[in-house]
Amino acid sequence: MLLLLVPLALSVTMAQTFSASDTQTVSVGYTLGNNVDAPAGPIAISITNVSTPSTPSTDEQTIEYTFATSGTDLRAEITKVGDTDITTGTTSPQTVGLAADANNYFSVGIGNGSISSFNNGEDFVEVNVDTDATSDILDNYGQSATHNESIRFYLTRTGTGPGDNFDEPVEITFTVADGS
Amino acid sequence: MRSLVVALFAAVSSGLALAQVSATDSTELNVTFEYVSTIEAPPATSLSLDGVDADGYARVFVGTVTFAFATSSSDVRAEVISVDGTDVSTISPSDTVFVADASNYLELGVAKNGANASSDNTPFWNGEEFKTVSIVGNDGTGAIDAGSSITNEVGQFTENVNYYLKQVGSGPTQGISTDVEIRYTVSDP
Repeated sequence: MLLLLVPLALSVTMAQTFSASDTQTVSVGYTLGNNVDAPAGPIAISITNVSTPSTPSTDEQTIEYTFATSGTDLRAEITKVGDTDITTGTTSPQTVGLAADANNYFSVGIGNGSISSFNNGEDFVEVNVDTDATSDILDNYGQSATHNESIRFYLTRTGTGPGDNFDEPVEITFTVADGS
Repeated sequence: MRSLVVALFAAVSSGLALAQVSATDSTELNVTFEYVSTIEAPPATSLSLDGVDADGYARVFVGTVTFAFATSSSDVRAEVISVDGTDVSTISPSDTVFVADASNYLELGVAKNGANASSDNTPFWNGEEFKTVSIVGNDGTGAIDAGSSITNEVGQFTENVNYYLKQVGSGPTQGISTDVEIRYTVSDP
């Protein structure tokens, strides 16, 4: 007996693996950036030598600011009166019509209850809006976050006032920065 | 894929090391300060003149007048409005106890510092008519000393006021004890 070995074509199927998975961890960081959105202007405010109340104010204005770190603070100052840049350090309230002399002037101020003035009869003054000082207007210093607060602007007459009528735009600049 | 993720992480990590920059924003205020006209007359006062006084003149400081000028052309004026309760718009000085006749009367007016019987006096009346006194004019004049220094100015001022009594001629024919009401007015003529 002859055995005839015929090779058989074998069809063999095997299951194929088309998908696989693995996981990875992505560390995402987000850093708060300092930011400030000052109240939208222009905002009108006026005073006379016989104003009632004696310290008129604007309506409440919204200011939004972001402290990037716990050491960031918010300050404000007058940077322009009319067309005059007062940040050069050579301009006083008397030279731009806010004051007649050291004892007779009117001041522009800011507050949320108590008032802090941006000027007196002789100097322009930077105001601590939200800092580690005890005389602040707002109280978010040390909180690294975005804050939304309300403030008002004020006018206050001292003595007999500036000695002449005044009608000019006054620019207030807010700055968020590392207070250290 | 893994290399891309690593790059993203690296980028994020390096961002954490960046220094914070300050941020600023500004608000514009439209600010006005306006003077409006105001006046506060000197307080009530008394003055007298002894008819036997050889000088026939007495000057006294009566207080201050406080006023505010809204414009550079404002001024302050004063005038008698009543004598012994009688409205002077209905009478003349000769109808009062102050005047005997046009040449003999007692004169009340405003005096400058250092005024004497013959100078720096501005009367509220003479023997024939009542007069409006320019306290502070807008032309560098005025019955008080500040009248020459407050010229074409806007603002608020407080200035000394002196009154005087002066016997003109023989003066009035009777003793006098009466009230004179004086009105101060600030206006822009």
